[in-house]
Amino acid sequence: MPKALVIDAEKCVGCKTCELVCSARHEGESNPTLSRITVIRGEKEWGGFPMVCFQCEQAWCIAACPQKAITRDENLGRVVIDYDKCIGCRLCAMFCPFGNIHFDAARKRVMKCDLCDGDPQCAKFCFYKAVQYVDTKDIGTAKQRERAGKLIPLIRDMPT
Amino acid sequence: MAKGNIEELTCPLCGFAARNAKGLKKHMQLDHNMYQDKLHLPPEKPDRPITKLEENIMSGWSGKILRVDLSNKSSSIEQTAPYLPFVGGRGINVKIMFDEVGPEVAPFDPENRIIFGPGVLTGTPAPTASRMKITTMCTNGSLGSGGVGEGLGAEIRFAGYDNIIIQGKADKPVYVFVNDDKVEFRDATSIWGNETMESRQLVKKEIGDPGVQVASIGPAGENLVSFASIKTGVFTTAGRGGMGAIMGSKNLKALAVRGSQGIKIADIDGFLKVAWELRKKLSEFKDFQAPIEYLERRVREMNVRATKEGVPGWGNWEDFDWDKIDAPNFVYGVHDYYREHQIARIGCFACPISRYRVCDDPEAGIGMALCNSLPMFVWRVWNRDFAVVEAACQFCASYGLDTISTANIISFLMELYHRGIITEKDTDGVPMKRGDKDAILTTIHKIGRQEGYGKLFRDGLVAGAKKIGRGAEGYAMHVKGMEIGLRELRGRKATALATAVSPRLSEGEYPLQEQNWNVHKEHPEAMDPTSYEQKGDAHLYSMKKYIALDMIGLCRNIFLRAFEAAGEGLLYPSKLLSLATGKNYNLDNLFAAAEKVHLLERAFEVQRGVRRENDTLPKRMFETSVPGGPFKGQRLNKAKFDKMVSDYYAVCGWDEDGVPKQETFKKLGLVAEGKLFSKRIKKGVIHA
Repeated sequence: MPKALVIDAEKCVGCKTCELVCSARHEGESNPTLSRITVIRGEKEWGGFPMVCFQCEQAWCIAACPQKAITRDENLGRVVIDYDKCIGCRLCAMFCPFGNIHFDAARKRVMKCDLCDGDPQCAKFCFYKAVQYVDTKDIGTAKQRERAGKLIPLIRDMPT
Repeated sequence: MAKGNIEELTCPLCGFAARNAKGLKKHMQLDHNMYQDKLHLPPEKPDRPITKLEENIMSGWSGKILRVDLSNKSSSIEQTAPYLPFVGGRGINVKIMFDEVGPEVAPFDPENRIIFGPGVLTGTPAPTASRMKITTMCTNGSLGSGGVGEGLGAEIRFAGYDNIIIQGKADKPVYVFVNDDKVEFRDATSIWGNETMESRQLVKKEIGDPGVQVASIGPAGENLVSFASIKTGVFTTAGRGGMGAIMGSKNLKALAVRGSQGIKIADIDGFLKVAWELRKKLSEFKDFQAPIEYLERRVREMNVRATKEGVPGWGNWEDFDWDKIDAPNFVYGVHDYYREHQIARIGCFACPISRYRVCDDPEAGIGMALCNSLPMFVWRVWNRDFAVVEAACQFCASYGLDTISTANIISFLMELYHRGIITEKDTDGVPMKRGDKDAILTTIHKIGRQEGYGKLFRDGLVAGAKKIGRGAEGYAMHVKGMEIGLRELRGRKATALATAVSPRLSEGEYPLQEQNWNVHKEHPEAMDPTSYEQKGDAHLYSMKKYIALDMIGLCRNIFLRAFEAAGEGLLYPSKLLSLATGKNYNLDNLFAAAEKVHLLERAFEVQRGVRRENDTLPKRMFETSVPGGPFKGQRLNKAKFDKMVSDYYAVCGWDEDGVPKQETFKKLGLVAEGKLFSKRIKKGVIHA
C-alpha cells in the first residue's frame, strides 16, 4: 500500500524546518527557495500551512505535459518528472490547482515533491507532526481518534 | 563530433538507416518513443551556474558582509574571512564595533553602527537555528547585543550575507530593502509615525512580497526614547538598551530583507543525521514534552520561582508585608484568558520548541506576551490580572518600547505614589496605585506617545527622577543609567554580580543555575546561591557559554535548559558547527573565541569611561533586606560584594579598576586590539 504525506495545518507553527531539510536533501544546501515544500506563514492570525505536492491520482500536471514527461509511479504512489523528457515549459506549474510545482530558476527546470524516494525528510523532521507520512488507507485515522477523544466528554455531559 | 560512422546511424532496434545523427534521434523519438537514449541527447544541461557566492569559499559562512551607509546612500561588500577568529554573529559584531567605533563617538552620532549579525548556523536545518544578534552602542554608551529570533536572521543569510552593518544618518526618513545583491534606499516619510506592526505591514505591502522579513521601530524609536526597542518580527524584539532610538537617530524606519540564496553545508548527510538526533533528544526531554502547556506551566513556574526560588524582585525592591499578598497564587486567570482569546500558535524559524500563543485581546488587538515581559508586568507592578499583562506587553510592542524599562518606570512611580512623594497631579490625574490597571496602561501610552508625564522619561529613568526631584532620585533603580530587570538581586549573589558588571543588563545573561556550574565540582561552597565564593568564575563560565551560542546562532534558552544539567550545553552546537563549516570546533576553541569577545566588550566599555565605581548596584540593595520568600532577610554586604567583583576581574584578566590588562590581550592573541585599546585609553576618557 503506498503512503502519502498528510498535512494537519492546525498543528503547524510555521517554523519552516521542512523547507530547510527538503532543500538540504535535494540540493545539498539550506535554501527555502529550492524547497519542494512551502510553509505559508500567516502574519499573526495563523501559524503556518505546509503546501506540498498532493500526488493527485488524476493529476493536472500529467494531463498538461506536452512531452509526457510526467508519470505516476504506482510503487510509491507519487507523480514523477522525467527530466530527460522535460523541456522546461512550466505548463505543469501553471496547471497545478494548488501551485505546488515550482521553477528552479538557476537550473532552469521545474521541481516538485518526489517523496524523497520513500523517506520524506519533512515528515521525519516535523516536531509537531503537522506533516506526516502515513499509509493511504489511514489518512484520516489519527485525526478521527483525536477528534473523537475531544467529543466524548461533550457527549457524556449531554442531558439525557 | 564523430561524423559518418555507419554503426551509429543505424537504428539498433529496427535497422532503420538514418541520414545523420539528428535524423536517427528523431526516428528513435517518434517510432520507438525513446527519449532516454543518452547517445543522441543534447549535452547534459550545465548544473547551477557558479555564482559569486561560491567563488569566495566557504561552507557554513556566506562569506560576505554588507555595509550600508545611510549618509551617502551607498553600500559595499566586504569579506568575512578576516573575521573568522571571532566565528560569527555576536563575535563579528563586537569585533567590528570595537575596531570602528572609538570612545569619541556618542550613541546618536552617525558614526555609531547597528550591526545585524545572524550566527553561523542561522538558516540551516539545525534545531533552533534562528537566532541573530543586533549590536550597537546603546543609549547609555555601553556595547549591547540584543538577541532576536524568528525569520529575519535566516533571511539575511539567504540574501547571502553573514552580517549587515548600518552606519551614517539619512537626511530624511528611509527604509532599506536588501534583496539579494540589490540594496535599495526607499523613502519612508509616509510610514514614519506608524506603530511597529503597522510599519511592518506597510513595508511588506509596498515591496509586494509577503516573504519579506522586516525589522522596524515604532513612535518611541522615532522620538529617541532612550529605551525604545527594535521589533524584528511578530513577536521578537531587541528590547534592552534603546536600540530603536539608535535606529531612529539614523532616520532609519525599517530594514527589509529578502533572499533567495542558499547556505552551503560541508557535510550535509552528517549534519542532517546529527540534527535529527538532536531533534529526537529534544522531544524526549521532559520539559518540552507537552508544549501545549508551555505558557501555563511557565506562569505556574514563575509563581513557584517567585515564592520558592526567589527569582523576581517585587515592586521596586521595596519593603512590603510578604504574608499579606498571597504570593504562591499571585497570578490568576491565565487558563481562562487563553481559553477565551487564543487564536493561533506561532513558532520561531527552525525551532521545534517555541509555540507562542497569539491572542485576540479585546483591548490591544492581536498579539502576544512573552517570557521576560510577563514577570515584569506581574510582580514588578503588583498586577494580578493576566489580561493586563497581555495588553501591557502588546502596547509596549506596538509603540516599540522595552517592556523591562517601562515596567521599571511604572514600578518606580508606584513607589513614589505609595510614599506620597508624588500625587495624581504629577501624573495627569492618574493615581499611581500599586497594581492599578489604569496606572499601568496609561503610563505606557503616555511614554509611547510622548505626552504629558511620559515626556519626563524620554531620556530614561534617571533623567525622569531628576526632573521629578523631591528626593525621587534615591528610588531610581538603575545600573550605569539603565533600568534593572526583573530579578531579585539581594538573594542570589551571582545574579547581583552579573547585574553590576553587565553592560546591557540583558535578561538572558544571568549566571546559569547553581546546580549547573560544572566548573565548580571542586568548589561545593560555590553551589550555595547566597555565598559570595567563586561567583566570578561562575559568571565568566556562563558568559562564555552564552557568547558561544550567540556566535553559532542557536537558542540559549533551549540548549542551556535541555542539556546544561549534564554539562552538554555546547556539545551539539559545536558538533553541528563543525559539520556545517568543515572546520574543527570544540568546547576549547569556542570558549577561546568567546573569551576574546568578552574581553573586547569590556574594553569598549572601559575606553568610554566605565570603571570599578560604575560596576555597582543601587544603594537599596545594600541597605534593605528581602521582605519574604526563600531569601528572606538577605541583603548585600558591601565589602563582600566588592571582593566578589575583584574576583571576577581577576578571573577575566582585568586589573583592580576593571581595566583589561595588556597581557590578557596578548594571551588571547589580540595584540593589535590591545595596542589600539591602550592608545585610546591614553588619549583620555569621555565619561559615558
